[in-house]
Amino acid sequence: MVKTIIELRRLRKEYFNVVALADVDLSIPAGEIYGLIGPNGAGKTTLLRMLATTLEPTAGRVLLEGKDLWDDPPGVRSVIGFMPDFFQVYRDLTVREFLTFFALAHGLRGAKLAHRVTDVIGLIGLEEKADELCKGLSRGMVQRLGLGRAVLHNPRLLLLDEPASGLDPLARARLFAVLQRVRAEGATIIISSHILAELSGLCTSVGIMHQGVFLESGPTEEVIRRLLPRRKLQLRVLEGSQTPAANVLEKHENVSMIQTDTTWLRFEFDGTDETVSELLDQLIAAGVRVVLLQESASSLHEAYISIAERNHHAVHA
Amino acid sequence: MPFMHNPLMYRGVRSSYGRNGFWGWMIGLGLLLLFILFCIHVNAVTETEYSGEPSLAERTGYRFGWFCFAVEMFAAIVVTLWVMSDSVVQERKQNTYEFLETLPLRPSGKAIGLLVGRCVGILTVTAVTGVVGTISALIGGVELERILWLHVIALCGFTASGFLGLSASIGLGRVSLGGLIVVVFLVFSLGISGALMGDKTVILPLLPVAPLASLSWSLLPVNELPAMIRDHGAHFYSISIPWQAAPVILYLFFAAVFFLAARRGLTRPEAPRSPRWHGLIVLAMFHALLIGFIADFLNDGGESGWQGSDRVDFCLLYLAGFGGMILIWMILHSPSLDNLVHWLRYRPRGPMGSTLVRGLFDKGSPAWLAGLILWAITAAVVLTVNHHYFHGVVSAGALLAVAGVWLLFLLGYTSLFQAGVLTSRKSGSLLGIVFLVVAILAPSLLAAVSSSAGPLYVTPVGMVEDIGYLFRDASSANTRDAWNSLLYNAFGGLAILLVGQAWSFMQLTSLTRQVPPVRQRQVDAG
Repeated sequence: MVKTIIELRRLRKEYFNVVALADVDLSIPAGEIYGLIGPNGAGKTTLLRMLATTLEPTAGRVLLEGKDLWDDPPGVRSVIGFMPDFFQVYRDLTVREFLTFFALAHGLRGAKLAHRVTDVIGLIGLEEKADELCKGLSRGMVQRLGLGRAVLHNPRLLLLDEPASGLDPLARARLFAVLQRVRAEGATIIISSHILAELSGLCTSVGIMHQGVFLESGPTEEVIRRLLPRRKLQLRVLEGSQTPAANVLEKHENVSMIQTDTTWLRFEFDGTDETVSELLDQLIAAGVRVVLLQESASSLHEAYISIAERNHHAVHA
Repeated sequence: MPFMHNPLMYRGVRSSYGRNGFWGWMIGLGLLLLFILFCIHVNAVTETEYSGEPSLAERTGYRFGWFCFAVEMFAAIVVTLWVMSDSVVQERKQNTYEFLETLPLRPSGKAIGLLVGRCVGILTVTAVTGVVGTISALIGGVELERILWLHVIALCGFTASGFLGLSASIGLGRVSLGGLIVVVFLVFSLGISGALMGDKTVILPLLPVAPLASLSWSLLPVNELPAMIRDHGAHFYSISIPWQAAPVILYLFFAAVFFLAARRGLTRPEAPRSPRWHGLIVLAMFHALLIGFIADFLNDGGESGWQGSDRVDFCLLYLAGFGGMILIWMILHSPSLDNLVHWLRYRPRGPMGSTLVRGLFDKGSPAWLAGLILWAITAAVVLTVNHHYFHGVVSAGALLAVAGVWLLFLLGYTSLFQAGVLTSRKSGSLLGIVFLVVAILAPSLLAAVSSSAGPLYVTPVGMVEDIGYLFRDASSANTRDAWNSLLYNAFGGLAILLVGQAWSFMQLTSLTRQVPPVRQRQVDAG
């Protein structure tokens, strides 16, 4: 049985006359990379800040491995890493001193502290800036340093609020590589973003938030399938194979809505992974020279749009 | 956690020493001290030529020691307050506050770490001036014991003002009011020491809480101390104590109170600095402390030989102090708009009595509810003091009249303040400080400048005056005259407060109507 790391019970947050989070119930299994999806104002940051113990709920409880967060906030903070959506670093410290500051807070001492700080500086790729003041760092470097701070103590739960905003593609790829490594070391990661394309390849589970409630939550594939029963696939073939590929697809009973451009054949597919595999066999048997068959990267995006529109119509009906 | 393993201290040391021009400042301080020493020496040479006693070394040492200790006291108490009141505010401004919030340290560790870490420079300056000043003052003939007491006062003052600044900084949100706090502190300290220095006031033992007074008294020859202190000494109730113990005890009391407030603020981000019951206990303890320092002067057989009218003055002072503390307590506990709305929405419902009692201690309930209870306590305490200490020297009717007017004033100020919070949606502490300036300091200064008591009658200061008239009249047991006198003198102030109460009532009524229902952003989850 998979262990639950975070459990929300009727969690609620009100600001004056607005409910930012409305009696949310949710469980997140350990070891997941859980993506929080939703537009600005959906309640993602409020939820993350409550999980990070920087915001108190109006009502309800948050359990971390079965214990209420507010029973022992300092104890909870020692097993959580949190990277807020917008932050600065201590401009009067060097990169190494900045990380040492947090390492001390997490109880590291002596050689162990020095090794860990050096490791993290390597992990985030700031070796050349290690002994320079933080005030000279670029936005991307500050973001990496913030991530380094959050993973410094090998947290069991890592909370990241829009971590990739403002990063160039290379820095973003590096960030995701670091996250995969942190997850491999056993951490559970909750990450919020409104750039869905970046989450679809990363997250094992997602929760779609809208106006303070979860509209959907679960493993990424399941959520997409629930919202978009017909999967969106795309096929890339070598030149000259497009026509036979299109013929195979047109004849296949699970395929519909085929669109072709110079490089890709895009289509909707109603079936499981197994039937996708069978389709691939059929294409190869028909002499189609397949380069790539994959889920469309925009599935999560379309799933979100689908549910948001449905919800919008329901509210205005 | 060992001392230097506190990350906040590590940060303070790292960011101070060797950066931000720290050593430049230190060299500047050293040069300034040398320059002052040179000037003092030149002056002392001239004076010694005229009169041989004391010697040149003693004269120079005494004066230079005085200067060094002044720098030490100023840095330890005033600059610390300034720096600490900006500490958390700066973290918020620089978007690093969440780092502080999520540090896995106990709140006590955070509070102490912030105090020491932020004040590394101040501690260095006080250490340098303290050592130089000690050597200098010893040369100048000041006893070592008195110098050590001075350092103890400075250290306790540093702790108290540091935690006061920290707890204010946590509560002030994004608005930096450090400068304003310093001004208030300075004005109060200097004002008290300037206005009350003399043998005719019972609060003389409390005077050294003002840094300037404690500095002066520490270095004055014993025969130049105020006569009451020199001849009678200081007492805590009937226990004889050195006069230096009074500021030390008061500073330690404030340090403990503000440490607990800061600790609480660092534990739960949205908690008030202290729960209401905590505030009540602090209030009672503080009042007991103050009374302890001045009670001995009230003994009929005491050496001070205070007579009947002085006991009335004491009662007046007692009431004024108590009223002032209640006012500050109410300001600190006036709920923010969010808390008030939360209370209005979720306030306990049930039998009237239990609802009222639970409501009094809810951080969101209007402070004037609690004010009613405090007023009742005040009235009971004053009546008891009058009965036991003064054997009914003031008539019960007059005392009730005073208590009644205090109620009006307290409710008036609190409701004005509450209406201000609701209208402006600013934090309670922010408005509280503004209120102190507008309602107390400004009229007091205006009265001082214009040499007229008129502006005071709209302030609690004026209220004390009114009560003074009342008591003097009441001591002749003529309650009706007392009431007439009181109403005549307090008419202007009461009129303003009635307007405030009406305004506050309208605000509260309007808010009560519009608060529920919550705007539910509940959507179709299907």
